[in-house]
Amino acid sequence: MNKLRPETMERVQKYSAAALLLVFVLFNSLFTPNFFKLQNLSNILTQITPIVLCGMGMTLVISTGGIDISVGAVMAVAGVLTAKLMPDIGVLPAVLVAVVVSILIGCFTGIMVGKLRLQAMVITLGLMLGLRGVAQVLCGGRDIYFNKLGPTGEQLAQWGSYKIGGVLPVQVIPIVLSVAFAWVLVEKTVLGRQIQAVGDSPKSSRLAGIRTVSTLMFVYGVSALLAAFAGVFQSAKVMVAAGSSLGQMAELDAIAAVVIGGTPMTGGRAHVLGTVVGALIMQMITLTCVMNNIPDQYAQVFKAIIIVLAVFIQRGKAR
Amino acid sequence: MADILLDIEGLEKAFPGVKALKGVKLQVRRGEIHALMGENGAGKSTLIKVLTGIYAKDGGTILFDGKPLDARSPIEANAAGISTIYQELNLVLFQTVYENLFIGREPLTKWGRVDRPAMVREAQRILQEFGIDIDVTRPLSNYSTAVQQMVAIARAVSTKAQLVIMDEPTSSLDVQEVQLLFGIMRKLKQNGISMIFISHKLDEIFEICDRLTVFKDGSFVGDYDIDALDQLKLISLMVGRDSVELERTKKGYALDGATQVAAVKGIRRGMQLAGVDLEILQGEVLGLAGLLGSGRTELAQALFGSHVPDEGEIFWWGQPAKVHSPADAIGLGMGFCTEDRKVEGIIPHLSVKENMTIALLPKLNFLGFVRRKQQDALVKKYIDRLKIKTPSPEQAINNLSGGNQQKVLLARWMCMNPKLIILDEPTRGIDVGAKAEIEQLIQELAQSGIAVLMISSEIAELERNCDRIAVMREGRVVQQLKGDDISQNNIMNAIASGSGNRGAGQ
Amino acid sequence: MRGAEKMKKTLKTVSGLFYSKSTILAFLLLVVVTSIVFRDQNFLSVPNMMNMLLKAAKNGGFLALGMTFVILCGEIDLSVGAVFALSGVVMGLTGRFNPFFGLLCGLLVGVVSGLMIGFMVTKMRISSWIASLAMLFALRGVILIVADKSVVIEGSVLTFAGAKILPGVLPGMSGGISILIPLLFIVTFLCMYLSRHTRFGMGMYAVGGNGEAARMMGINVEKIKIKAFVASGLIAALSGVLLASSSGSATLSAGNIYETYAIAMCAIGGVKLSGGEGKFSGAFFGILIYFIINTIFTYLPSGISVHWQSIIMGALVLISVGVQSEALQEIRLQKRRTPHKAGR
Repeated sequence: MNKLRPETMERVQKYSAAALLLVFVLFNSLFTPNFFKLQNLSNILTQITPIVLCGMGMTLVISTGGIDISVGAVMAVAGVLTAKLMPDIGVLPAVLVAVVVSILIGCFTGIMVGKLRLQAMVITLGLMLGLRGVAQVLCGGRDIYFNKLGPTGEQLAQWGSYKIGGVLPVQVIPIVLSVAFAWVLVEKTVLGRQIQAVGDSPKSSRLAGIRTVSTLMFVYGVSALLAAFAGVFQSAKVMVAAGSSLGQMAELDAIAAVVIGGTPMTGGRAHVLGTVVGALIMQMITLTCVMNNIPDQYAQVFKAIIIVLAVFIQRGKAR
Repeated sequence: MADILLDIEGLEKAFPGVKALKGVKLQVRRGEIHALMGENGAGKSTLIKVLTGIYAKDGGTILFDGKPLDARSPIEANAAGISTIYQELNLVLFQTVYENLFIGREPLTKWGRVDRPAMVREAQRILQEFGIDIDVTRPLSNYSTAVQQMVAIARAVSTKAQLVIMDEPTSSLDVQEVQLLFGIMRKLKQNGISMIFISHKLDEIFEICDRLTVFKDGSFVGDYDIDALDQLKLISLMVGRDSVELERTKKGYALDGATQVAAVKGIRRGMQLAGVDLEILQGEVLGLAGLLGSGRTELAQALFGSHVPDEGEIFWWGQPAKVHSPADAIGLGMGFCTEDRKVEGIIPHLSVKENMTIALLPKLNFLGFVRRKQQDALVKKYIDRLKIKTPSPEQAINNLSGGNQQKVLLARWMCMNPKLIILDEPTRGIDVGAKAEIEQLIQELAQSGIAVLMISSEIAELERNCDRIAVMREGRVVQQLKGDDISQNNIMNAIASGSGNRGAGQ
Repeated sequence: MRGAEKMKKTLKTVSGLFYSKSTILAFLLLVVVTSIVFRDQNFLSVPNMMNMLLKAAKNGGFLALGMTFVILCGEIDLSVGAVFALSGVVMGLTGRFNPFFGLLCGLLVGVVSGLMIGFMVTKMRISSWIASLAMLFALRGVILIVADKSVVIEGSVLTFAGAKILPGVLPGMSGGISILIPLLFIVTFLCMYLSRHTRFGMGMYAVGGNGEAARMMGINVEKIKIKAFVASGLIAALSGVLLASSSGSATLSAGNIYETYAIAMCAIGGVKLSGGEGKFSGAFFGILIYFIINTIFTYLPSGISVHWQSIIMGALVLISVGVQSEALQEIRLQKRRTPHKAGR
């Protein structure tokens, strides 16, 4: 009967995202001046960093059927923590501390969701609230400016502005690494199979011997880890660790990227490259608006509409 | 004759791949308690769903109170006078008793307010008519399942139902609560209300019902007065001989002295398992016989760690073992092919290849990376061996037919080289050809030294394949049959005589 | 196994603190403790109380009430903060033509938003989390589209909420109290009436308690949910209109993150996030508890950052949710059953 349909539907969905991206690129190459200029492309790369990093983590989380809306707050905590600690212990150790703390937060979420079977939305909502407060408390309510931090401030600023070979922004490293990590994990490893199985059918997975709780802890831990790096890189770029604004709305962009990229919200197959396409689309929306002098807020509205449509289309095809 | 309230003739209903109802008949008279009997897949629940408008019928007629009935939803069925009490009660447990009775049709005062005092009074009145005296202002969750069921029935009656369908109403009731329920049913009968009683508890059927109808594999077998039957006759009607008469070829019992692979002792779980002792030997095909609700699946779940029992011990190769999760069981060397493969077996959107190897992956990897070549070779091997029909190993398992899905699940456990495989209804929903293949496979597994625990409702299948059969009834093993003692008659006798309580049979 | 049993038991006792009657107990306890610890601040004085209530009315108290409708149905509405802000802005802008039109438009913002979310949830079958989250961001964007700075609100009609009533009636309040305070109570009582004495209210509890059963019992689940979202949006809009009206201007970033606080107030007030349980009276006490904590922070020495409040609220959300967890539910439901007989 409809044995072939679900397959082709999935394919259409996957390619429709890429097609949409193509439309954006074409539109911009025709109508936006300076689109293919190096500076512009380089900007795209730097701006897309937090979305891609958080998006990779979010892809994994969503493919287990969960969600993590605390990533923005984790970004803030990590950024502020790094900025606060690095004058005393150096940049790398500070980053390490921030990352470890974030992983612990993620594991906490994983336990809450896995063992107590609490809704991921609510847990991460509470964390979002609490962690934002933590970030604020850590920075004493005042943004930490790097240029006031002396040598370590300059070092971390390099993480934001250094250009490899004078041309390629340093952000390409975390982007490539995180995408590669996520892709390899999902496509090639045992754990990746297990993560997708848990999202697709938690009952069957458990009966097949998959340890659900540790899988979830891993997934939320990774999400927090990547969010931490996103926070560090982002604050490095703007040279400020702002407890209040760092990472704000980051969760929206990440979720949007994942949803548009084709990973179903109900859990199951993770589409890592789809998320990358989704992230690019989100960025294109912002870019198209900026370069054509449309105020940012229209971009926001447009993004919201796209998310709803993307989820709706998935719903229609899922069952 | 007596007035016929519900008259169903030639009812047909098909789903993709399976014909659930093949022209069945059901006649319920006024003021009668009528039992609907049949094993899983017989078509009972499909019939009820068609009657109450959840499914649309493909053919046949339904006459209710003399008029044709074509309910499009349970609400329409309700309005026509048919109420259903499901096992998963359709009540709101957080709300009070009286609120539950009136949800959706709350009486209003002349100011338009919801009239709570009136609701409380009326609720008390209705329940007292049934002989239930409880505080109707407390949440429904405060009360036992039995009381909750009474409230559901009371609601049905107060909505002027003429026919009340009860789906497994006694499954979580204890002896006294069952009597309470029966008292209410008799009162309903006096008031001229008919009931369809679906249950697998033969003792109760014989106690409370007036007549019964038997379905088997979607067909109507017959309807009878209760006095014209005994338990043995009833069982043989429900699960009796197959049309395909395959002979048992095993002779004798060759496993005396074989090593004990697994054993359970004193397993208790709620109402479903009442103290089970059983052992399984190496290379043996041990069958678990019994009707629905006898606790066979629950026993398997206890053994495999998917539902830890309240009490009891598990032994593995003679040593006590802690089995608190499926992962533990798999680690010991067990495999479990569950009954409900859609929900507890397949991982629907993943491929055949992934489904087959999902349990094996922790052993099929190099530093966490899946060993692609080995995986592909393994998958190919089992696709060939089990003759799994799929366009490619990458095909999503959801797209395969039921029989092929089952084969993939079997392969999932076989490729782990387990010491014990538990199969729960392995050939359900599978065509005859594939069935024979799977039965052959089971024998091969046993011959290679694997212990097989096979749960089946098909007596003939058990007769053909098992070295030993443990018959379960009401949560206990009541009898064991070995070697040449195994025959369909003996099995059915054992099931029937299990409790030795009521029932005209032996 | 044993450790899990113990954990369950402690969770159960802690959970007792979060259900309706116990919420009142917690509230009283909090009041008593606060008035003793901070006796210098005249916590129990009328001006103080009024001040706190005014803050509640202005800063998201209403939002918790609106949110309760939606949560009772088993859904969520993350857009209330955005509606809160946008309604004030819209009122200010449209009120320039005609003040009454302005008021109407402000309220309409909430109604339209509620309808749209309701549609997405019931007809498009999108989870209310996603639908209301998307609405949140869309509305925040719309705010910045229609206005680039705070909108000034003037004129006797539009600033009606700045009025004070009952001058000299209450001790210490010679100038009277803001009408927002009685309005808060009125809305609360209205909600309480709606939930308990109308079919809509009964329907909400049924839908949230067991949606499938509600459907089988003849309740139009979709209609109830849409009504709940409209109620939530309308109350949020009302609240935004009141704030803008009483303060004379509508700020663009008003209500930021208020939705999270609203959920926290509901959770603390015993309104179960899974739906079907909880009362508006509980939500009201949840609001009070939140603002008492808020007031406590104003008493603390200025060295302690006010951001600790977010942390505490976040922790409270986690605790009250953890306590409401499914695992705990099962224990509660089982606790009162007649004990099983093991075997026959």
